[in-house]
Amino acid sequence: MAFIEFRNIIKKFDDHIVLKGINLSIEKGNLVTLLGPSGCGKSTLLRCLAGLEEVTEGEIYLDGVNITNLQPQERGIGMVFQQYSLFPNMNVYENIAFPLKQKKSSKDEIEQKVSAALKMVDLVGREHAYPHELSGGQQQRVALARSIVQEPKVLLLDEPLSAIDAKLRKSLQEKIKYIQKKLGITTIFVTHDQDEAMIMSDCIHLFNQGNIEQSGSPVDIYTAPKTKFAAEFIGNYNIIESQSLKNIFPSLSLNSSYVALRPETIQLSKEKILDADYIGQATIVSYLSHGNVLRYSLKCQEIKFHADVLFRSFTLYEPNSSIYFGIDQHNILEVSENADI
Amino acid sequence: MRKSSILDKGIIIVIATYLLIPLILTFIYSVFNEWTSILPSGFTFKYYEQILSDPLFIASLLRSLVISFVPVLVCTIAMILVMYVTTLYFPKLERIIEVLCTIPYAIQGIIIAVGVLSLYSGIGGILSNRFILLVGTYCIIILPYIYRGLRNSLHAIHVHTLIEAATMLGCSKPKAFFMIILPNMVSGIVVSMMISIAMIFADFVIVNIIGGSYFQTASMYLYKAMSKSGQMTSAIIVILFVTTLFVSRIASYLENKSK
Repeated sequence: MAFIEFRNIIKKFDDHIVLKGINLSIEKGNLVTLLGPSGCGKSTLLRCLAGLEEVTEGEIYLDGVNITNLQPQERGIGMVFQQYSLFPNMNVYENIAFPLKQKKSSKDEIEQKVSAALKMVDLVGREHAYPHELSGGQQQRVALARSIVQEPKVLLLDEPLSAIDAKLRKSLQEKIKYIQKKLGITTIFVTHDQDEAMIMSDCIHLFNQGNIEQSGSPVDIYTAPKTKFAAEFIGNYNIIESQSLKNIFPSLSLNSSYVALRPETIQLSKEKILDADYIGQATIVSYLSHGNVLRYSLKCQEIKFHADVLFRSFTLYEPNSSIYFGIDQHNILEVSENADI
Repeated sequence: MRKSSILDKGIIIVIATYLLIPLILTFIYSVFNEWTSILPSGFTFKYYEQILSDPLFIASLLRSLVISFVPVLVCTIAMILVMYVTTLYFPKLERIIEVLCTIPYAIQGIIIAVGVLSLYSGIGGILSNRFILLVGTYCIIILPYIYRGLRNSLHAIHVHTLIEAATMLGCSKPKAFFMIILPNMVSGIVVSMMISIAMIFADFVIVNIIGGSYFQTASMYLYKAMSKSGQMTSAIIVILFVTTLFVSRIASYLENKSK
């Protein structure tokens, strides 16, 4: 039995079904991400595990114990919320000490554990500050320290970095990953940001409309999306109807109705000297610079697609000019319209 | 930050003058024997001496303080318990509670007072006790103010996420409400209590109808004094003002201490 097991979890809010029979196993010590757009059910599943929502049907097991009907405080789970949820009437020290006081730990133990937690999140010296005196990043670090100080079996992170600016988010992502590996704590991270999921996770579960669309390592999910939704959500894949691509490359043999092409796998050249399995000719519609990457919008017959190239002077092509593009067979990914559920 | 202009300062001075002048003039009037020409004459504190040495006044003032505090305390505790139940267990009832607590706004104090008196005065026993009747009536009158104040301070904090966070940290829901939510509502509670205390302290109509000669308060003492002497009336007003100021300062001190 896996460390955490969700068995056929169904969650309804009145008549609205949010989770449609989720079966999911999570191994001990892993950092797993539940990824998906808003309203897909990822946070609801997390809240069901935490005990903050009751499941309509199904069972949840943690370390071999059925915890489906246990109160949140009886589950041994720590959780960090998006809104930090620090107690405004308590300072940093009191906030972090709160779960230990609930357990009636001794004063010495509380002092020792709070000091260690403060050190881990780099907040030594801020013990007496109140939440409103801290930045968003600092508040979230306090929330993290407060959750790990109680040594939970599982740590849940519900979009903890959504309200934090991009630069700080990166450093907190590293911090969370560092702490998770150091403590070896099983962690479930909920996010709608695919880049964040790629950076943080050992395993990603991609959610769509109350179902798990695809599960796998970040590399698997990114390089081999199985469905149209997965390809669209996880990367900036071009989703093209198979028949349209066949019209351009008649020798192509495709079984699915759609193919997915990663923009960075499409080669571009002014000359027909590309080393690719399939070479076609397109017109440049426009381009946008994404930092070190140039994203071209191209049109070939009736198909519109994107191609990414590194931003160098010789890769700058003018709109309305004609260009050759090349695609290798192994980069043409056949995807289904829906997940096989 | 922008420097305050002359206009800004002017507005503040005009408003402060408007508020303070009646008070200052009342005080001046109360410490002089006569004010028939431009300036008052005959400086004296005899009116203060007379009032403060009158056991009737002291008893009235104490009654005013008691009748201002007790209903406010009772109503606040009751509303906190209602908030606790609706927030944690029956959030859908909040709409109904809101409507119920707003009804007293629409009913004039005199109607409530007459209604209460005609319903309960003849019953006998504890329910016809004038003090109990007054406490009950004031609880209804101040209900909207207490409810609004508490509700606003409750909505100013993320109640549900804070309670959820507390339960995830090993705390039960009731304990979380009283340990985390309530301390963060102190400002709102103090403000609504102060408004209600001030309202009851200044009330004459309800206490006169329900209390009558059984329960004389400072405002009734003031009403009687008005027919005797202008200076005496002014001195009572100043004493009542100082009392209210003192009470509000204590409340403000307690509020700051709790932060």
